[in-house]
Amino acid sequence: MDLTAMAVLILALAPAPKSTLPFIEDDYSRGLAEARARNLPLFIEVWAPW
Amino acid sequence: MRAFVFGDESLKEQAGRFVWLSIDTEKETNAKVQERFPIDAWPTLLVLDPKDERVALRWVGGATVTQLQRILEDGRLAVLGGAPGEGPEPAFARAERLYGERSFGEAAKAYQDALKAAPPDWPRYPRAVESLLFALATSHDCTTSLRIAREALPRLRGTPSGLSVAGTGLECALDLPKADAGRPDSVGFFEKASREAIADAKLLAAADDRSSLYGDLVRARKDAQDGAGAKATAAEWAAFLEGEAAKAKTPEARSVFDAHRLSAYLELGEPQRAIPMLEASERDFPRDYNPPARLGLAFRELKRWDEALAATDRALAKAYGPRRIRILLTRSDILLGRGDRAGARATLAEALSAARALPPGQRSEPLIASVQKKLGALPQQP
Repeated sequence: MDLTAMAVLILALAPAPKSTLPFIEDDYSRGLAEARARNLPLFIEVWAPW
Repeated sequence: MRAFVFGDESLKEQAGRFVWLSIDTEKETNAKVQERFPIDAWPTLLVLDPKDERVALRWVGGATVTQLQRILEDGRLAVLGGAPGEGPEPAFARAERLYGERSFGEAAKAYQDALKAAPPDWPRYPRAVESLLFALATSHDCTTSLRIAREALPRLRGTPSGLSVAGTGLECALDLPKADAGRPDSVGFFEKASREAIADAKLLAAADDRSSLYGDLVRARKDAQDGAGAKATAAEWAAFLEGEAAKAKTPEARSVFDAHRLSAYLELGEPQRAIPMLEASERDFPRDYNPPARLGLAFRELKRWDEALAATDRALAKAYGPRRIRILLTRSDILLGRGDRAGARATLAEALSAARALPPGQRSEPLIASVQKKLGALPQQP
């Protein structure tokens, strides 16, 4: 594997969660139920920790 | 985005307008969500209409605070509905729906219809161009991408979208076959545009977007067989990232740059420069598999096999999900480098078995094929 290909594999962002937004972590059912109950759009950040 | 965007005070006013959910795609418990809402790059931001779970807005990649504010406003309007306005809006609404569904070919046509009908001051122009270019890239339509990027650059110059469009154009130009007569002109044009975007200190792009563009510029110099130019660009890249990391106020914010810095140091041929930084991150985040996984890569490049193996041991003890397979592949390379062919084969077999065992949503057929190919290329006897 050349370095550029390897760079693509490893280029990514790591941990650091301090949010002013009240994120629900990893619970789609809960997020959807809450969005339905409060009649609000559901914002989803799909991410990976690497 | 977690380190530099979601914590921004200006987003507080948005807190009550949405329900906020984050999904870590490495976790097996999220595999069904991934199956239902596949993504094409990390991060991807989605705004869902909770009534029917329709993706009302999809944004691929990171965003600045300003870009996120616009994404949120547009996403909210897309869920609240109402008749689309005039001019480019009906075509844009159609494009957004198709893009949300990942019908990228049709979405690209609709975005182009919207751009044709757009007035010069259309506020959705930057997002429409960026989404269109991603749709075209996913549809492998490089020729149209290059035309759209050239047309859009004068209008987007000096903005984060301009930097992104320059980089997309450069990647696309470099992907053209070498025999393509227009390739040298396209590469030259977008390399110059990328250089200008990088040099524009007033341009408020995210640091990781600037960093990715440096990676593209290194690739362009290597493509031109300009080894010295590639090294010089990698040195600029590393200096930029070291400056950003030095400004970080917390270990979390500093470690965001680890992966990018490792890439820059590898391009420079100086992997040893990554080691103190990664050791600091491993101390600061003892439960995170990333620092030892990256140390494994750096030690492998240095042929310090024992330290490389020990680092992957520590990473594998904490890793989960698809990333575990990548770490096993690194470990296999290290074992092979150390002359342990049988160990390398056994590790590849373990990686293959782990890749096959991933649930739908996480399982990647291209990854399985690449592990199989690697295993096939490593006969039991030398």
